[in-house]
Amino acid sequence: MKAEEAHTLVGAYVLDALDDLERVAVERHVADCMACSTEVAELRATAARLGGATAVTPPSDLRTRVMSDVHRTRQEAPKPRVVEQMVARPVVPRRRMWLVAAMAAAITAVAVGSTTYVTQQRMIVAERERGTAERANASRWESLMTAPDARVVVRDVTGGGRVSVVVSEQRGEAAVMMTDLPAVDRDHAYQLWLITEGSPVPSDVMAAGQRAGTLLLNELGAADSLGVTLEPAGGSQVPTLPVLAGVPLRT
Amino acid sequence: MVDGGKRDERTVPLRVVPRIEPVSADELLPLVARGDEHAFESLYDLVAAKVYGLCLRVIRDPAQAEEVAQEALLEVWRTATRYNGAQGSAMNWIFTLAHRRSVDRVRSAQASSERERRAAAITVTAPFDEVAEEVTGKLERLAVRRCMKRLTDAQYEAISLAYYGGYTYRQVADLLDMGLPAVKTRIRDGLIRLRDCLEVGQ
Repeated sequence: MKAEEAHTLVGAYVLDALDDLERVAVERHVADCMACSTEVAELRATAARLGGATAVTPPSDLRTRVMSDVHRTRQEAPKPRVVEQMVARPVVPRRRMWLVAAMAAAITAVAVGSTTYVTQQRMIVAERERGTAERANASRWESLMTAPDARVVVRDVTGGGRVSVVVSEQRGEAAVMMTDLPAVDRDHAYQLWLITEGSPVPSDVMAAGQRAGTLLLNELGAADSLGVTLEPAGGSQVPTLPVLAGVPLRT
Repeated sequence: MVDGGKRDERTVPLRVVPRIEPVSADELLPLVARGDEHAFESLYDLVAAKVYGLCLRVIRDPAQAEEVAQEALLEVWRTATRYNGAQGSAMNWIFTLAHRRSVDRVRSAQASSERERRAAAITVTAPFDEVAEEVTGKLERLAVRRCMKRLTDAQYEAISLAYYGGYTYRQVADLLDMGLPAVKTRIRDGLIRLRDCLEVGQ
């Protein structure tokens, strides 16, 4: 997306009226443009005034429920500095930084509002449905599937196909199945990224031209999400946008 | 009735109420970020009606709106540690968060039914006519209403459908039978006009 095009979208952006990729494009544009970030901040504040103009007394038990949630919910750690720098100093083009932030934004955006299968039953059904995918390691796979906290998360991939992940936070393992991905030539390959607090670390790269595959990631570490991008064959150190799919690894 | 004597069950004892200093969300949020649950209670009392009102406006179904409001308020607690004052006021941050959650909720529902979309579009054109039984911030409401009236009809419709209807600008273009560039422009120009009328950021 061209800069002018991204700029005309700032209105729709602050109203949350964009799809995920457009949102990332606008965020990228804004990160490199001081005037835009002022405009976005002001329009965002304007939109918030629309939000604040509607007040309805909530049911009285909402307070009790929220307070009880609060009492047993741990707060997140403060934002890592790398993201703050990106936001606070948008004048200097920081290619790598905004790539990271845009990736984080894409992941967050894609992570919201999709389906997460929770039960073992559905997990197995989901796995069977994708039975064409190869299995990298049957026994590890089975053991991961039966982990008490295993969940299946399925996400559509931009352009076609889907990525299905079975993840166990306890084991720090995830099995990733990709099926029916968009066709790619022999010079490009799909790559996975483990993302921790917005910072992507390169993970496995599929064979050039390959459109389906299964693999087991056995060291998730602190990663909170998984991203899929299309890269030059052999993979990259820094993700090439757009992020084609983002899969949250934590609840 | 206050001192001595037996109270019947329906009598509320009088007590000394400390003078309440108006506290702003901007003052409370840093305390919340440090894990202060009392500060969060005060913040709740300050914003809950607006958060719920916003969720209700976008989602319309009271049960779902309540659920999303609960999630949004919990998210305020969870991520208060990540709030950065340079990006706007605490109130803005909270409404942005509540709006985004509400939109996420309706988008997943919208995908399933074109019919619902049309039905909602008919009702959303007069959003300011529904006056809640109990409201706070009457002045704020009046100011926003006054400024919304200064928009052209097309700007008003586009912004209402996008913000209160929770539609993407592409869906707004479909609903209004307009081209995408026209919708983008109307939304942005309308917001700029609203910004100037509401004197945001000046």
